[in-house]
Amino acid sequence: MYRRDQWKIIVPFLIPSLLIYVVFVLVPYFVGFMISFTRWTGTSLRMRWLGLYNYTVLVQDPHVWTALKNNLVFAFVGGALMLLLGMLVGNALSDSRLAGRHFYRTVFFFPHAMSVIAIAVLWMFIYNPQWGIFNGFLRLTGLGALAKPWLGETAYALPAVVVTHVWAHFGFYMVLFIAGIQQIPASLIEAATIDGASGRQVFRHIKLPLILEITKTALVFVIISGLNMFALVQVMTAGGPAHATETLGTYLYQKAFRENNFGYGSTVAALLFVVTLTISLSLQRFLKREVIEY
Amino acid sequence: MEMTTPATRPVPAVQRRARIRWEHLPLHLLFALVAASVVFPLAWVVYTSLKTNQEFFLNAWALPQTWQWSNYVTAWTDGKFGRYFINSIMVTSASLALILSFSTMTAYVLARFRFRGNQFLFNLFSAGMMFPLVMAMIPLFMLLKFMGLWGDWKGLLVAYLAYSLPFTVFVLVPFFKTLPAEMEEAAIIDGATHFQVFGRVMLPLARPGLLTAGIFNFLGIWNEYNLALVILGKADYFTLPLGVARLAVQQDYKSDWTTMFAGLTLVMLPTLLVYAVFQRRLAEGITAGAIKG
Repeated sequence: MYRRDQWKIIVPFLIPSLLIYVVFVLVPYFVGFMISFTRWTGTSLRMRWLGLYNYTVLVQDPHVWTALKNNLVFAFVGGALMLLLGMLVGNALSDSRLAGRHFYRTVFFFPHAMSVIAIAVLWMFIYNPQWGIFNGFLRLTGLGALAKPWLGETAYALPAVVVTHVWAHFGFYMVLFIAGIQQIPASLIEAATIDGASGRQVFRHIKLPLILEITKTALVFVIISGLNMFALVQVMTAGGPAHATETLGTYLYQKAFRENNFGYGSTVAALLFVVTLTISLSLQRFLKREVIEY
Repeated sequence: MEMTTPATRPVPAVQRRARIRWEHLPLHLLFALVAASVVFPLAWVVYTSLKTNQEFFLNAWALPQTWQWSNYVTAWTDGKFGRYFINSIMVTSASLALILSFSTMTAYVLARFRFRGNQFLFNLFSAGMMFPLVMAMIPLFMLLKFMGLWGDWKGLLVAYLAYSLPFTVFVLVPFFKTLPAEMEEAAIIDGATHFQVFGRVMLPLARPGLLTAGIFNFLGIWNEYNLALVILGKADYFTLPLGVARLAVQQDYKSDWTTMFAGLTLVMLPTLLVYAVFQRRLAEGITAGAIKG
């Protein structure tokens, strides 16, 4: 509703938040770009202007490209797994005939609410070469030959961390999809079932098209979280062995806060910015399709 | 007073308990395995925190012979987890107070008043959710150093406030929009000022929305690691996630694992508690954001 003196509340209620948001969220992104053109050790405020030097280093730095590739693996491979699991498990748990579905839902969703650090430490122990449960489980089921130091070998470390990431967050997408499926009018599903559609057909031809909107939202979430990988990797492997699990986040942290090369760290962050922007924009174009109403 | 959150669905009046069906057996086996992968590690952390270090090295998976409650005393005092725990509680509660008051005011104004730039501002705030947080670590570190806010809680609180605004405003705006206009109008006709309308009429109605926003922010900040890592300078200021991470990364097999497990339990317990109490509201909050958004 409009009142002439409404500015009396709009100004004091809006300006402080806006100021804080602009200064501490928006400005840093620009400051980050500025730092990427300098050499800065982070100890004093003295910086040396380097122009595009950091960028020429970036292009030739193989670890950066490994890190970017790993981020994309987290975003797209891990993301696809999370969406798939979330969708299938969510669909199964939407069935009111399934006993214990509330229990499963509660348990599967919990890791998402947990501390990433706790998850990382937990899975370091699960993957522990000597007495980790994962190898224990393999030996128990007669697959002992497959047991290995999962986080210690370059070929297995990345998949192992991706599995942890998926384990931790698929429950979030499950909750999303359950909500989406429950919004579908029961009459639609009943009608199809009466017409003789199997559970799989109902899922494919009725539920799937109607949860398309949620799938798009979920897709954006998994990609952002894949690009944002940091704490989990930092604690589980610190980017190793031999950069096998390095992400742009862990790499820029290493460069800036461990090697005091904040300029180069910011250059890595700038690359992440460009990648994020490119993916978001192309997703927006790609996903612009008609919404199905029911 | 019964209020609904933005996207509550009608719950079927009678929830019958489903019986186990034979055709679901493979599904149950699979789900039980996944559920075990969640429940067992958690239980393991808790009972390991009650073992001696010798027992732990002898057999990492066995139950403790006698329950070593003294591990918690050690963790609390020698391991500094007492300090981390209190730090975490202070940082979390102060941040929550700040975030909720700033976001409520902003969301209220954006949701209930029509003025030029309203939609633009809402989009501007929401855009903050679309970028990976790791990008902000270096420039935020620099900015806070430059402003003299780096190193202790001042900087961390400001950062938590700033980076929680996008999500919280995004959740609260649609919520405020659903509140009925009648009471607001009646209050205005009775001569209430804008602030009275907000404080006496709208704020009490908004309590369920604030609770949802509060739970999400509690979990987010209690567990937060990235910003705390680059903002907090000394171990004296550390929050629990930092304390646990440091202990976990630092020690290789030589020292005190059980202390770390006690610390880990201290991080997880409040989360588990909040989750157990508010699980349904949490799910509704996610749903509301996704379906409206």
